[in-house]
Amino acid sequence: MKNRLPGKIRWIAGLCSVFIALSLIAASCSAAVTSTSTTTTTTTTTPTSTLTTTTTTPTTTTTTTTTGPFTTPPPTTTTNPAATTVLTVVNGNTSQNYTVEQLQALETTAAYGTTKSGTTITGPNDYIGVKFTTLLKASGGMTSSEALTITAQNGSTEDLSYAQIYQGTVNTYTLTGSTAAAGQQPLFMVIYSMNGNPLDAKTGPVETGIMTENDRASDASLWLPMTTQITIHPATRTVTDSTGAVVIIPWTVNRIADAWHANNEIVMLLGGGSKLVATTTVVQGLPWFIKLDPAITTIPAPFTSTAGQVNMEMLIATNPDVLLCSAGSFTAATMAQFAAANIPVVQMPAATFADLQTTVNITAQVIGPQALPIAANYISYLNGNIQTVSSVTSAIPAAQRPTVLHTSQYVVLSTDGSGSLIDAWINYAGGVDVASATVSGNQKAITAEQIAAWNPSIIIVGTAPNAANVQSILSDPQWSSTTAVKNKAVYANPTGVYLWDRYSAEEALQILWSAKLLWPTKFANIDIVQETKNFYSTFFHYQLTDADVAAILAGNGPPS
Amino acid sequence: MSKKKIILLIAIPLIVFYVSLFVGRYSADPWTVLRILLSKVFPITHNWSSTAEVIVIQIRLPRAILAMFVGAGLSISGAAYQGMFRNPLVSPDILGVSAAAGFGATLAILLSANIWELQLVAFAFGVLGVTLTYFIARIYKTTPTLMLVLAGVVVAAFFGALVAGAKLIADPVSKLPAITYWLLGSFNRATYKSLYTVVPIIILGSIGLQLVSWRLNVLSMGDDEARSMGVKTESLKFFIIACTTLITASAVSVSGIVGWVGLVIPHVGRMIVGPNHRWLLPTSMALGAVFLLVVDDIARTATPLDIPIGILTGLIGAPFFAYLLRRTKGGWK
Repeated sequence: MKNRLPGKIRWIAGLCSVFIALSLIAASCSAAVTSTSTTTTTTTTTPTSTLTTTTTTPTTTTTTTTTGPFTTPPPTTTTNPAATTVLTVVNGNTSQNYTVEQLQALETTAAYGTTKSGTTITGPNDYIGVKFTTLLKASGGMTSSEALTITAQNGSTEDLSYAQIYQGTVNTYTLTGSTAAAGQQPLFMVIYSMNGNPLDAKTGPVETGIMTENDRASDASLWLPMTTQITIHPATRTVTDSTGAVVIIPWTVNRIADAWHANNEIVMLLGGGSKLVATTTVVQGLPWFIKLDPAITTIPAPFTSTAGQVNMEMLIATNPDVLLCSAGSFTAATMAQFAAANIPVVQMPAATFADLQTTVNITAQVIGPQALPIAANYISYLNGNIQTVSSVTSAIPAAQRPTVLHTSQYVVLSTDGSGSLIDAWINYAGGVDVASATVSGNQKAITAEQIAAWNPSIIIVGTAPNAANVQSILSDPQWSSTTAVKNKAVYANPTGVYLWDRYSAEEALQILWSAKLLWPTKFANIDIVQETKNFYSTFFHYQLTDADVAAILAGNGPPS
Repeated sequence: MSKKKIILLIAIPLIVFYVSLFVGRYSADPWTVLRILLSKVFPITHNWSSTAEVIVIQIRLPRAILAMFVGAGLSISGAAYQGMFRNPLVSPDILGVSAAAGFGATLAILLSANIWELQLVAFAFGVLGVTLTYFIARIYKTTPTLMLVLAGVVVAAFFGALVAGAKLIADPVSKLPAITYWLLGSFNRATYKSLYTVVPIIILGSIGLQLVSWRLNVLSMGDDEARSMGVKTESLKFFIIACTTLITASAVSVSGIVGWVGLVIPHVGRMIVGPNHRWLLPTSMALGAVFLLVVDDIARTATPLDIPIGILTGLIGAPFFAYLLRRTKGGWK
């Protein structure tokens, strides 16, 4: 050992010198980068810069000083655009309206702008407009803890951060489309003139654009034609989740990761389906989900069927604004990893119908104000159905209630007992869950003997392949002594976008379906086919055919 | 081997078997059970409920028979392997049969196969796994026991990894519980149909092992000694592996993975009748049948839930094995 020591020391010394050399190289590189950026910053003020921002405070109102290479005649418009408000800047409770004339009265800027959409480069064009920074200053300014939402005439919106406006942190490209090195700071501007003419009806009267050097282009997706409003608001907001945690999420949530299978449906129902950027492998295997939202199979699925498992790199790569999950599904260690990756986690409860409402409400809050009325609408529909059904069934004495077994019997024979959503809807529907007295919780394995002893009068089969399971129960001698099998009262549970029987938004339909199944005469007025069609049309904006509904009610995928 | 021991080894399984038919969540008295059984042979007036008849004839009877045969099969396989490998730590799944059959079942569940297809695929994969092990271990037409054990570890690790991977993508509501539950073992799905396929294979395999029991005694002294005494060790090993694989694969295919029985029961047998395989093999069968039947009675009676059998055999088998290790001080008698 002793004589090896010098060798070891040599190794360590060698490694250290390599490390020192590497860090020296790295340090000199970063110094070089810093010095480059410093020089470019200084060039912004020098006239050699190609981003020619000629700032003028015009005394005349209509003449434009820039003449571009394209000399098209000014469009003849019947209305005078200068007379109407074209832009509103909202900051808290105050708002400031601008006509084109008023915009021109501000400090205006003439500069080049070029867009890149895919591989298509448009420009450079000569633009005149007002810098965002100027507009914001006129409305009381913006702090680094605030952000902007700009709205277009057609309702589409775009979110801009403080850094994008004040530091120009956006990607720029060369005119051949490759990513450009950092150049001059790109400027966000409200444009009212292009190449000497007012904007046409497709982009104007004013447009949000990014001014760059004449050999640089910016992403067309960051330009917003027909801009009508700029709203200054805090950069973040808070949502209180079911664990009581006050979670800070971006003001506008655009990218949702959802680790909870059933909650993906609720996000879709609340109009946030297009915001999903990460889902679970299970959701990507749900036939009706795919039918209604084919894009779900194209987004990454960092979550698997095993609760609490996550592919952290895959999740981080999707850059989510927020992660939704059912309460307690991740360990403290995993939660710490989410926190380290700056991914806010919103947890929601899963056990009861009250929990379902809480989950819908929290999910809606996360998605944004536009989801709140949908959530209210859904919850009133859900409670309405509970009310409709229980107002009739609550009068039925316990002795008259049919005994119901809800089971899945694929390899493992299981049922759900007290405290489960399944137990709850069996009670609403006017039945008695045979398992509730002795079994508690979800999906507990039970014996065939116990089922024979319970002797249910109605059996509902809740696991795919539902229809095949119904047949196997009806033909199995082990089940033959039960009243349900003798009367052929064995039914497949419907399965839509998600399972109707557990955790999903379609529990609202399950209540009606099960009530009618148990008490057909008392609920003769319920047309479950029409209810299903209405539900899908109202909440999923999807028109089901009769064949579709039949497949859902039988627990099958979409008919091909 | 005294006559008293022989009588006990036959009588005890029969008594436990009968007791098992009236133990359960549904109460049926021994007299009714007896009359239900006899009514299948003699004309007796039915004054019992159809539920009682279904429970005794369709549920408890096939389940008890299956538990006994699986227990007997796993135990005789364990006893034969412990002799062949000359190692007391060997269990029937040493060559990877359980892991491979487990993957076969997992695959069948993922593909939504029905219970018969599942049984078939699990059996086929169990046999395939051991075949792989055998050919990996085969060097110059010999199969040294160390190579067999190592190859078994390789195959078990490979199929174990496949099962773990499959669990990641399985549906959590329908498929995942099925896989998890199957891997822990249960006799809940025992039906006559499953008996028709499994029981003959276990009987044939056990007869085969019993026929070579004296050669097994020679083999347990070592390959070289056996060869010097005129035993064709390679063909004997192949025959033993074939018999135990058929027994274990068919047992696993219908009940899932039931651990500890094949490891612990042969030791108990050796305590009672000594190491002579001629007596050890049938003794192990009787003890294994009783043990697994009692454990299954607990599994289906203790709670309304069906406790996976693998949990109970582990709970009872592991402490017992620890006790044995202490008692024999790691030695092999």
